[in-house]
Amino acid sequence: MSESTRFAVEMLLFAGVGTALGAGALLLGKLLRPSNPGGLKGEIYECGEPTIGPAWVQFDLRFYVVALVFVVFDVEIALLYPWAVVYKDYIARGLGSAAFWSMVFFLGLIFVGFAYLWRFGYLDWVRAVSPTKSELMKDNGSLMIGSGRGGRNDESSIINNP
Amino acid sequence: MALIEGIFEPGLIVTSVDWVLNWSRKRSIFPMTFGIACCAIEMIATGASRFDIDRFGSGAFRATPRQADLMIVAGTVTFKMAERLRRLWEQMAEPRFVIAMGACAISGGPYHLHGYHVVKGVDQVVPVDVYIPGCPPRPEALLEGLMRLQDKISARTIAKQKQ
Amino acid sequence: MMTPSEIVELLKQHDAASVVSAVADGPYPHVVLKPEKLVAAAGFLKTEPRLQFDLLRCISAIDWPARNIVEVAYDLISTSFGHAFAVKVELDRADPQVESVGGIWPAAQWHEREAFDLMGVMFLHHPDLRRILMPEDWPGHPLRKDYQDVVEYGGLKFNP
Repeated sequence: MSESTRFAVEMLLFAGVGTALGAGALLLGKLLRPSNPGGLKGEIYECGEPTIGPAWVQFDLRFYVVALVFVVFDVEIALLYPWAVVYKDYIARGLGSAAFWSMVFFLGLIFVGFAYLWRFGYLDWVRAVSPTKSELMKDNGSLMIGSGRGGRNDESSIINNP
Repeated sequence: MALIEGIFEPGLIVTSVDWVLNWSRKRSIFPMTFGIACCAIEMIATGASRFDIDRFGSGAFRATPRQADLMIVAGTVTFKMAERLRRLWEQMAEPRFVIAMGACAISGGPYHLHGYHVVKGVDQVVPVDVYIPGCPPRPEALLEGLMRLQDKISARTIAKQKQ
Repeated sequence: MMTPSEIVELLKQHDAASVVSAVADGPYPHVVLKPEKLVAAAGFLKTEPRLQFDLLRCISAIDWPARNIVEVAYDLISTSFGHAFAVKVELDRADPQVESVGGIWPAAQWHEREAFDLMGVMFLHHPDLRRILMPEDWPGHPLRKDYQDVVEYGGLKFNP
């Protein structure tokens, strides 16, 4: 057979065996394991205590800020790599300063954002109260201010009521 | 009830499947950490290097009942604890087993007469498979109990039971 | 470091009316105070510069059915001077009540919860007086001499 057909057959065989192994293991388990759902078995696990409230709680919004900041700077680094690769060629062709200053401009824009984050405390996990922010955040219970409590919405935990 | 359980008559294939199934189950019994009182220290000693419960395949103590096969009730069970113990046993997945370790778990132990808050034996709360006497039982005794449990698992079969 | 008799003297100088009796010798030097004078005396014991009993080691409740009292003993230690002393109050067994010293020694809060749980002593103005060892809905106070065991609790029989 031709090379491409052979390749296709090899790939299909690979995918097929992989799927068969996985599905086979699951099928074997389904046949052999006991199955008695229902009753108290499906209750939410809370170390034996009866559960208080649902298991889905609002996550702390600081994690979102951290993730956002990470994505922005990670993309910036990713864009630096191809620039670094071709920089030497640009110098050889005499366009070194253009290449350099365009990257400086790009980094400068990112740096302005970085300075904003730093100045307004978005990089601190425990934020000190600054006058500009505290009025805005007064009613927002999930972003954290001043007293250092976590962004919890429930008042019943022992952390909120020492 | 497994899907293939109770369908086939006892025979060579069923016995072989039984043997493989029971072998894999008894060589990897994951205990749930339920050390309540002093017997827990002996259970910890069994898990440590001198007595090494891991050579029986049971070294992986799971903290959650969802991933555990065996609940070793090591210690005195109080009325307050009995409710949680029952709930956690309910949350374990079959096949599940219970070992009552120590005198307190078997019958209330030294608190049998005057303990105002002690449940006189954990078998009032959950069904027990193996009882290990001692106060506390030595680690070798806990391993003996584990081996008895392995024998009990070897006796299981998926063949059709005669009514 | 003051001797027990000196401590008793200081207390009597501060407020002789509050002291019912004193034992300065023996292994457990203590004074017995009137229950209504307990908090004032406790404040004195903590703040007086020569005494400085800043550590409340233990609160124990003792049931005396023959004398018809419940006794509550407060064990105190001074971490600066090293002397130890004890203060007792004797309460009516039918309705034992005394003011909480949780405002003076914060450790008292849990000890008083235990005394309430197991002996039934009511501590007035306690911020959170509830059972600490027994379940919340347990009937009775187990360490009383006339405590009757429950027949069953939570579906479990007491004695099989």
